[in-house]
Amino acid sequence: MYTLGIDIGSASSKVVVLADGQQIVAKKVIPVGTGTSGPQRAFECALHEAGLTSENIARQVVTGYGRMTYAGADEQISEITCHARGVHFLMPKARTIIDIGGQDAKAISIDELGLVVNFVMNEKCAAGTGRFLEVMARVLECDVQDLEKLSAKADQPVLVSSTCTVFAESEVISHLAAGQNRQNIAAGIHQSVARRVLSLARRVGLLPEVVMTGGVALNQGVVLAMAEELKMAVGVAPFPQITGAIGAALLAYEKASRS
Amino acid sequence: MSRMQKLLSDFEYIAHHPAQMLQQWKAATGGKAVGIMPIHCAEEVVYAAGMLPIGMWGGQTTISRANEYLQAFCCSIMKAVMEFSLSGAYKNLDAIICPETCDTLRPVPLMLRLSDPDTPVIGLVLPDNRKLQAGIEFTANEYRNIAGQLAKITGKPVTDEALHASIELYNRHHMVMMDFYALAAEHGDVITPYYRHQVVKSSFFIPKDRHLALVEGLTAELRKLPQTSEKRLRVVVTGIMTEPDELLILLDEFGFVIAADDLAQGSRQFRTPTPADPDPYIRLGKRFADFEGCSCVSDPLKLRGKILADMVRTRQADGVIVLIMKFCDPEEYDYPYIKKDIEDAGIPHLYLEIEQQMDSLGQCRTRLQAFAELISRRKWLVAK
Repeated sequence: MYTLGIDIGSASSKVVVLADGQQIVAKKVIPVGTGTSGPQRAFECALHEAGLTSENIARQVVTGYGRMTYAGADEQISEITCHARGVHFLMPKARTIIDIGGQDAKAISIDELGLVVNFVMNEKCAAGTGRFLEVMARVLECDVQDLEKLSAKADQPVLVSSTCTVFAESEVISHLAAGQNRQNIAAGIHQSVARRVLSLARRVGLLPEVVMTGGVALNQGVVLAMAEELKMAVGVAPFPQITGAIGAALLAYEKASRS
Repeated sequence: MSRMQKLLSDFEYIAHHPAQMLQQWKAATGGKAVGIMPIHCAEEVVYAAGMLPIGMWGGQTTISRANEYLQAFCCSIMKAVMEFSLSGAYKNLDAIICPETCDTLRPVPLMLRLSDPDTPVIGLVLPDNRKLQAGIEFTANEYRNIAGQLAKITGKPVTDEALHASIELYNRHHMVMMDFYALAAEHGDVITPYYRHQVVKSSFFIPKDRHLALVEGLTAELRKLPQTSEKRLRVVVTGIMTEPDELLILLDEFGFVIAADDLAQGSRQFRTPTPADPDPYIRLGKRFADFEGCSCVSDPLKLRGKILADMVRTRQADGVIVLIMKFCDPEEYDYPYIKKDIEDAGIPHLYLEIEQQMDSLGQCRTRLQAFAELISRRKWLVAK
């Protein structure tokens, strides 16, 4: 039985096709999200990769910010539930999930069955999210993907103390103008993300194993900064961008196989 | 239209048309009205003065001029109140009573006097040491002062007999409201969160005797109906208020029924009866001494969390939704305590930040949906 999970975020669209709730037969990430052609393109590309058509899909679950306007799914489930399920599938020992996406950050506490115990999300503030890193990358005149290479060469991270993305941008500009090097600033930016997100995550409690997901988890600089701030090992889920889509496909399988 | 539908429609209309209710009452009685700012103010004194108490809990408006008076990090309720004041919406009030509820409300009497110099603003200071005899007498004296100020406006003194009668009426009203809450919890398909709120909110805009009669009519109709809350997710909501209306509609969409509330614009107004005493002002002082469980009332033993946990058990709720009004410091300060007590009792909860005026509820939708999924999966697991 094939099931499909689609996670439509603000900044990207992710699709996973699962066989019998066990094997990922296709996965696709398109770097544009809700309101764009991204969801449809991700859907078509994933089916093509799996060698399937939409008629082969027994059940489809949609999640993410764009779930309310997506027509074509059998059910829409919140990204909290889907991420929990997806991470549990990939890393059964995970108990705390820190998911940082394009515009939001969330911490989810799960139990041994992958059920959500508690969760907390950022409130109307993009500090500590992918958007924060995009703004900083622009100021440092590099791609977002290059921030981790920069911070890996830092010898003394520069403190970026402003919690607001806009004020932090001004602060980074001041550091550059004062002659600080980009490597140390990048490391300071990663520490700022770690501090901001962990102050949120501590509200749900941080039980090991702590696992990061979401696009920002691809940035090893942020992962290392998290581990240093937490004084705890921080893992990264395999395929960190698609854990929500995996969870959605799994939940689709659970319901399809029951009926 | 059935009698039930007519009553719910009436409550909805009253809740959405406070200015019209005030105008109609004034036209019918020739009386005077007093605006009552949140949270704790004994309306009984106003009623005993023959005046109509009108709740001032903000509302739906675009915040523009209020920012001339209030800081950016100020709760949306006070911003709406200032906006209404500056636009002249409160012109029909003959006085305003403003308790020193929090740091934001403390300077509001001055701001109201600046924005509308013609409407007298009467301050109310409620003591922290409210349980001491001296505290009870302090509270009593505050209400004696208010009675004296109101007498100057009406030209008639407030008699002890009138105040005792007013207190008895309000005690009956509050009992009927608590009865309504209990029935509403078991009739979630009819008394949805939206309509539950309309019943509560309308109580602030019409005389209590009229509201009491309407609620008694509603509870009589509810008693005739079978219970309809079995499939719903039962929650206790706690916080300042459950607005805007779209938030209430979301609660219904995700299958929640409000099993009980600990809301400032809710059971905190109704759940503490006024005890007996020969002196009616001392009675009000004693009620304030007896009251427990509000972030804006001194609570050194931090009982609010245990009160919430007890509400969950008594009303067989599945979880708690903590509605934090953005920039409400007292509620934020309470949150760690109530979080600990709720978690120690093994009760799941959702922290949900709201504002009274919210254009986009996408974030609320995600959080409420996730919480509904969380507690329904747990219920399924327990049932299995």
